[in-house]
Amino acid sequence: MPLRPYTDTEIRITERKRLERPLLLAVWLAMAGFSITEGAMFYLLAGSAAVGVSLLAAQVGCEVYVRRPLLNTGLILATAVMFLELFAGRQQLIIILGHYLILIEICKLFDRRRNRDYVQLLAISMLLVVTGAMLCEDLWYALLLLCELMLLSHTAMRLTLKRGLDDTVAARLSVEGAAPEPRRAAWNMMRHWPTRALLGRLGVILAVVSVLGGVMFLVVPRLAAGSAALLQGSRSAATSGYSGSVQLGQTREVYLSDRTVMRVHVDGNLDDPGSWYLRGNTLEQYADSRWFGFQPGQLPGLSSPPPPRPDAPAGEVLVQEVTQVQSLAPAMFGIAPAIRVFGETGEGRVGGDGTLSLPREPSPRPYARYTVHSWARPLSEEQLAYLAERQEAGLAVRPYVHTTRRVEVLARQWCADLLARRQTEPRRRNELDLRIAGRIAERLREEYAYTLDLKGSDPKRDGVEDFLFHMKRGHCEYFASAMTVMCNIVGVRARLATGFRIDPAGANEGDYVIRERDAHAWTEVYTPATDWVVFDATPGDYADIQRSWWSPLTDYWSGLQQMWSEQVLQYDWDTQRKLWGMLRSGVLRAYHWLARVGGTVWEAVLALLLHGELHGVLIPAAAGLGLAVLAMELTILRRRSLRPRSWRGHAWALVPNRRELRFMVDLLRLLERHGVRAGPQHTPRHIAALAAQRLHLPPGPLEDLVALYYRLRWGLAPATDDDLRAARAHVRSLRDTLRRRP
Amino acid sequence: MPTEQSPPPPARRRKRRRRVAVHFRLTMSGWIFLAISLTVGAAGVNSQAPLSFVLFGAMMGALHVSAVMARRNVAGVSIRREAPGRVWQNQVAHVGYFLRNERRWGSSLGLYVEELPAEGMEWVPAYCLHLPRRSVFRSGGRFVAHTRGRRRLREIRVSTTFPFGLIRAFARYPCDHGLVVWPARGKVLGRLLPRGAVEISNSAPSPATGGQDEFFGLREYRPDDNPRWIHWRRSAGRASPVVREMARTRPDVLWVLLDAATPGEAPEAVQAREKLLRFTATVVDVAFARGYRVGMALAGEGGILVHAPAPGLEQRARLLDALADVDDAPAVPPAALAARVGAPALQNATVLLVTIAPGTAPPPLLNASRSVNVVDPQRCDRIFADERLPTPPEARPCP
Repeated sequence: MPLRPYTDTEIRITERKRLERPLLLAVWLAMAGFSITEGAMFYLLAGSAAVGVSLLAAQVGCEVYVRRPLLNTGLILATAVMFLELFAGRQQLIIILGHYLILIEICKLFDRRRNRDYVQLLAISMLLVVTGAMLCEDLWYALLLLCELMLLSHTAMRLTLKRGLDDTVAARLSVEGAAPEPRRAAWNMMRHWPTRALLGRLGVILAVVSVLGGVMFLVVPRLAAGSAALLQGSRSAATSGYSGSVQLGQTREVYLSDRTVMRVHVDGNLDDPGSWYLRGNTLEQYADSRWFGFQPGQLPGLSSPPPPRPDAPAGEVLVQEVTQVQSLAPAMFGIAPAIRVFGETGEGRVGGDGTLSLPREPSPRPYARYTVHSWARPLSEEQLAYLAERQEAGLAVRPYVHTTRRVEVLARQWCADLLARRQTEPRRRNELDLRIAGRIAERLREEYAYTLDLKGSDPKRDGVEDFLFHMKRGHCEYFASAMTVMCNIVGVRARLATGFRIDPAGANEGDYVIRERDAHAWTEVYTPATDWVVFDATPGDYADIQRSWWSPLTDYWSGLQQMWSEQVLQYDWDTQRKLWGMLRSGVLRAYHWLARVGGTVWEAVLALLLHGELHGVLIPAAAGLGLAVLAMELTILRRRSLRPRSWRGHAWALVPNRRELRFMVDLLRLLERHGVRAGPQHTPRHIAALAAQRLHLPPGPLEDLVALYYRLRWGLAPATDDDLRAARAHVRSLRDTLRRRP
Repeated sequence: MPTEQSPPPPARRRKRRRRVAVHFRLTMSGWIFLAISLTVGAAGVNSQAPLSFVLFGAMMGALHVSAVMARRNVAGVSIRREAPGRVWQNQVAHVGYFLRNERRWGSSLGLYVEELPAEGMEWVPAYCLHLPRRSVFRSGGRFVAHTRGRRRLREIRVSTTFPFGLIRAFARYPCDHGLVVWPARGKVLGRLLPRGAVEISNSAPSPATGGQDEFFGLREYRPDDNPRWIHWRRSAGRASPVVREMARTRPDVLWVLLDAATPGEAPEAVQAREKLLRFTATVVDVAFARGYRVGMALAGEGGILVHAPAPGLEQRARLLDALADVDDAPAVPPAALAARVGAPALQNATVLLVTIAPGTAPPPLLNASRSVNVVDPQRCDRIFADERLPTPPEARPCP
């Protein structure tokens, strides 16, 4: 593979190296973004290798290329690959197009690049980015898109300047035998490469492009309401948090949110694991991958007054003082079994299924405060009797759980021995029911994995069956659903409970901070001897996931992804209409306010002119008008008094960052330290003359240094080590001379 | 080396800056970019992919920011031209442009400076990569004039495609400048300008150093002679000293009698006349270089124009300007030209009769001057060669 060193023109004038690096980075980002989006590692590796080779060559000032026949063969092969993929018909057209673009770009990387090739590389990179944006809408790709836009803008600016330099250097008249010497041509066009100016422009461009991109995103017409959600069904997302309902089979990714939703102070002993769960709702009916609670009509007698509550020793009552955000309402949370609830307006009610409720407050507040009293386990006979009586109506209704035959077979297979024993030992039914539930929870914990990414689920299947037989991974709702369904199938009374899980280790003198990420679902199994017992089938690494050392970073990223998902991906016609409505009403309000104020002022002015009456509204109006006039006058005065300010930059910053020119940077810094400041219009020769005049330095060494600088910067002859050594010695001697002066 | 000038001291009361009309034009890249942007927008509406909307907006924003930045680059620039007043035809001439960025904030980048196209002229635009705020940069352009005559450079166009090359913004600055294009120089193969005779002899050399003085002879010393000029070596063997006598060459006089009437509209005839003019200009230039005093008589609109012989660059420019201005002159017989100049003036001069009509010198002219050369188109082809035959100027689009 031939290597061609850059010519002096390319090095000194057209600044090819400055263009190559951002261009190659932009090319790589475009290829990598598309490859990762589409999951094609071959293209990622091939593209990375091609860019890496070109980058290495550029770093040493060479161009790597292959001969034209080989390049044409590569292009033909790329086209052949595209047609093969097309006829195979296994991939979408847009993916095939992306592959083709990557292959073309790889071929172009090994071409002898002229300005036209640079433009083509930029255009292909942009097309790749567009193609990737059609495939992926995740936050990471949006960030990559931003980086790519920045790099493409930067490269395009440099390329535009380079094209101007190239064209002017290469231009010749028809009567000229050849183009003029590049050094002389360049001397007519540039004094230094405008790195700072380009960076400043880049900031402005990014700001404008981002703002207009955002505005366009907001105003471009969307489809009708709900259509976007349908289109985005496969890429929706949700945040972790409490929800009164549970539905399985949603193909989405769940993000962990750190939003604080509740603070709980628990007074009592939390040794029993069952007391680590703050129950908010219970669901006992399952069908079509969805859980339902009992409707009020399904539970006869639930509205009847509760039975008298037996007293319990003070130490066996867990008192929870709860402060929760209003968005969780009407759900209330407490450790089961709750027996009393107090709000700020009085005592509330504990339902037969354990749900808590409070009298309605006259005006809703952002936070709800209440106190829950619960019994600590183990429960006494009287307490169990009380609880059984309280939920007698609910227990009388058999829960409706509908799932597939495969789930039932699996449940019976797991618990075959215990089920057989239950048949033969009916007296030990309570104990065996608990053992069956424990067996199922254990098998689920051992054989299934925890995940928040449910993009692979199939909504057409039953949620529990999909979890147990196909996905084999899921989050707490899947584990709890599977266990609850399996328990009910094998005759163990169970229900799914939702709420929050607290971590006893994270308590601060009994105070617990509950976040949305702590939302949880678990199973409660009923036996008359124990009341509802908590079984958590979710694997233990669920807690480990949340407590890893990088969790702050992942939490932050999850929050960003959630925001992106909610605010950007879910933006549809409804949101757009609401936004326009808000904007319209805001403008109308402002217009009405201005009209009202204007009318009032006008009437006051008329009253003053016609009747000589001075209204109070005129005083602030006159004051406002006076202030406006004053501000205008001050602005005019300020503009007139402005002088062209001195240049705040440093002359040495304009010297190209090259090792051999370092002596010039040192010299200019030295002179600047001794008061010889120069503006952007001053050349090094001017600065040297100025320094010789002001600092009374011998002009000879300064002129020699400047001449060497010009030779290195613009000349075609390379510098020898002796030249550079002498230049550095000159600068050192000047420094010593200036230092010795008083 | 670019000539930098420090910004002038700020005036107490700033002059209101004249607003320059800036025009825009989409480049080819810009049209392609616009098409891609619209395609992305349409694809976004079709697919409802949110990122495509953002991308569409970003691309539209890039177009918008291109226009705004290009306008800012161009609008705050003032320009001054530094061009020669006279140039030779078919020779590269350089023109300097002093660009000044008058804005308080923001530099200008990637500025092309070009003249509005004038007939028969070919330009290479000047380019300024970076013009910092409140600074001056001298950029150089080149041009060549392919036809002789007078030209007016009326406007300078400053344009840029920065930042993305999608939109070209340009502003026109009126800047009037007159330019005389002399006929092209060539190479005279024959000996048309013989050396003249000695004018006077004197004992003292001319005061000018390097003059055309030469040794004439020795003579005896006279009381009024400067002793400094005594030739001591020759005087050593003589009774009385001898002094050197020097001779100064008499200034040669060249009279050019030009009959450049066009015999018709045929291109061959026009080319023949142009070649005669180029030949005449070359001879005049060479004659001045050899120290001739050159005069010229030619037919003009108001009759026969006569430029009396004179030395110096001013006379040279006057004669070459006259050659550049030759237009459809009426046909004048050579005898009339000679009569207009007068026989005494021609008596000791070299006469060059340049005529488009083939023929010989008229008898009055042969009688008036000892050295008469007649150059008609046929002879001109034999004794004159153009330096370089220019290729016709191509339409050079702005890069």
